[in-house]
Amino acid sequence: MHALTFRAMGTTVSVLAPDPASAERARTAVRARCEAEEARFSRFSGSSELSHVNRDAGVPTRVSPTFASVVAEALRAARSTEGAFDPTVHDAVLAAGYDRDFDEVLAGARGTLHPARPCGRWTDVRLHGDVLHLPRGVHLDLGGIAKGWTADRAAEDAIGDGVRWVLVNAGGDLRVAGEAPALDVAVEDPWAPDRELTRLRLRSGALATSSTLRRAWGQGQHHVIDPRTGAPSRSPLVQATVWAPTCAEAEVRATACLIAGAADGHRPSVIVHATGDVQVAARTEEAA
Amino acid sequence: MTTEPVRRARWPKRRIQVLAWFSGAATVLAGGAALATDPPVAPSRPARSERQRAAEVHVIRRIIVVDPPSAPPQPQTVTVIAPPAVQPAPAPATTGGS
Repeated sequence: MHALTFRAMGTTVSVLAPDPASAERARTAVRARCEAEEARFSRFSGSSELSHVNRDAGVPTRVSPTFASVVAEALRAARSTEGAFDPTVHDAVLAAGYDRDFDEVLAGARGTLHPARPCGRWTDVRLHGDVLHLPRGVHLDLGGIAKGWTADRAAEDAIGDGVRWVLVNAGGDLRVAGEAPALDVAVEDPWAPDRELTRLRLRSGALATSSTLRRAWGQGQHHVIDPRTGAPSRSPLVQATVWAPTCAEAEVRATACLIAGAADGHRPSVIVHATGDVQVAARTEEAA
Repeated sequence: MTTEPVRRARWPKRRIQVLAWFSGAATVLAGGAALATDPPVAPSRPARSERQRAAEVHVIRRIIVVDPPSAPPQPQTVTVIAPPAVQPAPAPATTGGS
């Protein structure tokens, strides 16, 4: 097994493949996909398709098939989680202080904080084919689901380029594709990321983790917005790791689980309570 | 033939005043007696000691393995590995939130 890493989408992306040559080929495919989708979905780039769409809120806008596909998936996710996952939290994220690239937020270069207002306007978003109509004053943030979706497509691209199997890890959002062996994945301790909480063995599909202790810039200030309040979540959980067949779905489920404050009842998961307790809902096997 | 209605004798003013004073005084005394006999309200928490003690918080790291979901869509796609007796080699991948 051979791993290679690079920076994209505001995080570290790593690619694991059977041998150095495969890893190199996989990295080329995965990097190309990540760069293309970052240019499309970034809310920090004024020239991204997302920024254009948000500027056009209030009037019907024609979008690319890829953009329409991710918006459709985001709206399905909002329905299936009853709004716990909400692609219209954009303004709430800005109001909480995450209004520019996270490195700049950490450096203290934040805009003015604004009072939180409940979200939930995803029910008013209309998508007909490739025509998207955002109501006036409603803006999209596809960050998490777009990252998971990109990891899914990137893994498929690598397999399409002839790599036997690949694991794409986009900042903790993992997707395995091809004829992969069982791969051990360490779930990080949210208070000490260099320590393992537990270890999962992944054979197929995807794992994603959402945490209120990552991308946090102060006490109670973090990027996981509770759509019910429009403020950073006050969940009793600090971290949720969820398995799903695709990375986009795992990302949605992990976020919804964190906001709901309970384990996902349908998917294997590892959740960490603010008390320090860790709850694992998955089959157990003996270590080799 | 008409009959003169019987007129009730009126109380003298002085008697009414005395009666009013007595009933007023009795009301005040009854209220005071009720307050005096009412048991004092129990304090909701013990009285504080003079020096405030610092709270010591222990974070207990318990790992609870609960029943897996009843019908996972693809069994055996992901499993928890029971920790081995010796320290395992670093995992090839980690997940820790974004």
